[in-house]
Amino acid sequence: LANPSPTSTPAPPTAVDRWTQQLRKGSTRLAILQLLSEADSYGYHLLATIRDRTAGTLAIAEGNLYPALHTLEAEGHVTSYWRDTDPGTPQRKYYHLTPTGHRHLTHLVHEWNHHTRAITRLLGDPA
Amino acid sequence: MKPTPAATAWTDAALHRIATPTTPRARLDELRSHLQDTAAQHAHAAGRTTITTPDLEAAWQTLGGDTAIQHAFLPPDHRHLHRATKATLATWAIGALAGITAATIAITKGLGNATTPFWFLAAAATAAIATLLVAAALLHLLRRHDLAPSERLAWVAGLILLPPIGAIAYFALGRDGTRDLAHRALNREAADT
Repeated sequence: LANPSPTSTPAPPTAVDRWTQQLRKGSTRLAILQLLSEADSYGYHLLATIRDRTAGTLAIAEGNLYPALHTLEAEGHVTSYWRDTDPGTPQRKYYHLTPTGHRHLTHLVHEWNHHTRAITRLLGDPA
Repeated sequence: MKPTPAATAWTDAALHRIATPTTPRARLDELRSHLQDTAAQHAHAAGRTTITTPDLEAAWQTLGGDTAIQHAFLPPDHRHLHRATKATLATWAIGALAGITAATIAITKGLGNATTPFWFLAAAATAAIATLLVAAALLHLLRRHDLAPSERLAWVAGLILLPPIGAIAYFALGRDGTRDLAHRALNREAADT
């Protein structure tokens, strides 16, 4: 897709845009749980890491990340705690994956692999 | 990277602008932390070693402005809680006004005989509606995860304690009114004769 001119009016989302948006939204939970399984982290760091490790393909917005984190916390998949940073700067809220969250991640990864293999087979076998 | 005092004051004002009276402190602190990290990137790009007000203004725009920030960091239910509180208070005010009006009519027109079926049914229906409302509000409160524990406790305590307080007040003070005393005196007199 060509980048629109900064001065032009944003084009309305196409069907492909909407589909890609849904795909990203569906991947948010998996991405968050995967990163938290590697180490405890906070919102800003999670966003930056997801953006860097996917080379910008999965650039999650704050409006998707924080509600997802709060939902995961309410479901018991993650817990949170506050950690001091440099003096004079606010504390950071770190998220930690619980054992329930680990099991949930395992299920999601299994489903993801199952689904992508099926789609790959489908795309590779047009007949 | 630390903010300047002016930048800290700007952040306080911005958070105050988008917060409601019942916004959980933890959500605002999380927003403050995220905002500062975003502003630090702007300051770093500009070659500064402290976060200034323009960095925070730029960060605020990066996060999408007031509405987008409220949506991202403050739970949707929370933004409506203030409106819900106003609606509840308005309902109570209307109910109190209706009660006072009904009592005034009953006293002035001599309709105060509570033993008639109409008044008995009206009182029973009101009690049933009140019970359902309190039960519904309690269930709704217990299902919400966005309230701080102290907020939840305050609402639950208020909902549970208000009706018994009314009943206790009636039994402690209301039963010894002049009419009740007069009835008992008449009963005693009838018993004596």
